[in-house]
Amino acid sequence: MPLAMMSAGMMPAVRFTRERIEVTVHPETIAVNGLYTYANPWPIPMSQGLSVPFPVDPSHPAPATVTVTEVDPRSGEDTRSIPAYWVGVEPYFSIRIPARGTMYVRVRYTQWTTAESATYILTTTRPWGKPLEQGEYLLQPRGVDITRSNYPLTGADRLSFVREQFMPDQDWRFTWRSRHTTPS
Amino acid sequence: MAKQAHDTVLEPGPFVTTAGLLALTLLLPGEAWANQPPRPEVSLGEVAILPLMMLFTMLGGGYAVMRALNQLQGRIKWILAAILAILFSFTQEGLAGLLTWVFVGIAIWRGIRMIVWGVGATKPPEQRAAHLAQAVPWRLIPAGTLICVMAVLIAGLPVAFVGYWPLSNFVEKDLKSLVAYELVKGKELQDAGGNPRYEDPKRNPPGAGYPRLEFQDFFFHPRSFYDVDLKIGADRRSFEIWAWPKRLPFFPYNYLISEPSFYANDSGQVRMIRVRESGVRCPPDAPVYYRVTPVDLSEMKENLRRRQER
Repeated sequence: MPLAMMSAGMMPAVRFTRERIEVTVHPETIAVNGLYTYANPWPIPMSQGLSVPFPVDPSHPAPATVTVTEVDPRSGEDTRSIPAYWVGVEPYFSIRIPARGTMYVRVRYTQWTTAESATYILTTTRPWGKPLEQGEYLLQPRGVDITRSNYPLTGADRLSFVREQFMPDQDWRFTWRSRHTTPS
Repeated sequence: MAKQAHDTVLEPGPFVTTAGLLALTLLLPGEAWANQPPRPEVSLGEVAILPLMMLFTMLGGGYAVMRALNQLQGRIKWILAAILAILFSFTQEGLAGLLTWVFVGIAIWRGIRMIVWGVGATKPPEQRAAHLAQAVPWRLIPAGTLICVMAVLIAGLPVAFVGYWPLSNFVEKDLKSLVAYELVKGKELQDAGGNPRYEDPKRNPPGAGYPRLEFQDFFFHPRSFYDVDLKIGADRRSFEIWAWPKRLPFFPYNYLISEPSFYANDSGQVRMIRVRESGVRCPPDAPVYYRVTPVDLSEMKENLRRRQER
């Protein structure tokens, strides 16, 4: 769960209830497509600042940009772009959620890696104070074979896992082996 | 005097008020129905300026002077009004900017008054005004000055950031597409020796069976915050692309953020540095952060095929 509360609140004003993370794995890149669900339990509209932290080291440089959109839950289509601003080492953005309403946010980014491994940060669920009602995590290999995941890939395709009432105690780490290394 | 100063700092009224305002504004950042809430820098300045003003007023001993002037009555209604105004302004970044300037005006007025009080308190005790009898100049003047400086800095936040949206994620996407386009076209147009021949979409030469793709198809609507430069080698066997931000916020606010500056070439690699000043091109030896994938090339071929069918 890469989203954490930001300057707009000393504690999250809204609830983070669900996420669906799809990671497309290329030989030298992962493309993350995360769908996040936020619920406002209050009887007034709320605004929440969010950041997108990345696991960064010399072989996993930070993405150049992120694309953030609001999503129509019925069609699954993006309905509105949300500007994200890079403050320090992470991008930040703000969302608004109507009174007692729910908002669906999609965050996309690509991260380069030369190590045939990647990490998706899950432990930032903890600052929200409540477990996720549901988390769904999928890998989509493109020209690679997935070789390891620290969370067992229990889906029928052996490339995904689902957790309910999920309060992660570790980030999601996975590795792969490339079938080809250069574009043709 | 020191005892008095100590008591003033711990004075429960302003302390509770400051803590209350901080808690309410930070814990209840509400908003409603408009399209775009203020970006983090603007909302942070807006939310922080009054609590900071009250904090420095407390540290400077300003509340002791205000109490002597009987100016601490009825403050709760103004605090509630400020909180409501902040909540309402979170509907739209323009409103947040305007409210920030209102708060800046209030803070500067407070700072100037504290400086004036401090200067007045430098007189011998018998010549001072009654409300300055216990005032401490070395606290009032620096605190008042700090409030003014802080307010001026916060006043620039809306100017620098309201409406600022560089769309760098779209530039990144289009840059990758342009690299894929060049690689696909270069292979399509390769010479008899198998060497690629890249084409310059700016010059819009005839394609080889594909529809023409113009440079503007990738980048840069009129409001773009980015400049781009595509250079095709004289023998058309190489290309280089730079895309760099041309309009970052002005100094010193540009140092609050960063934007990516890109470089790519016919290797298919995309390089990037983060910059805080406008007009900085990415050097060709910057760290690689992406290489165009076979999927990118396939998608570009499909895109070109669809355009041909239209």
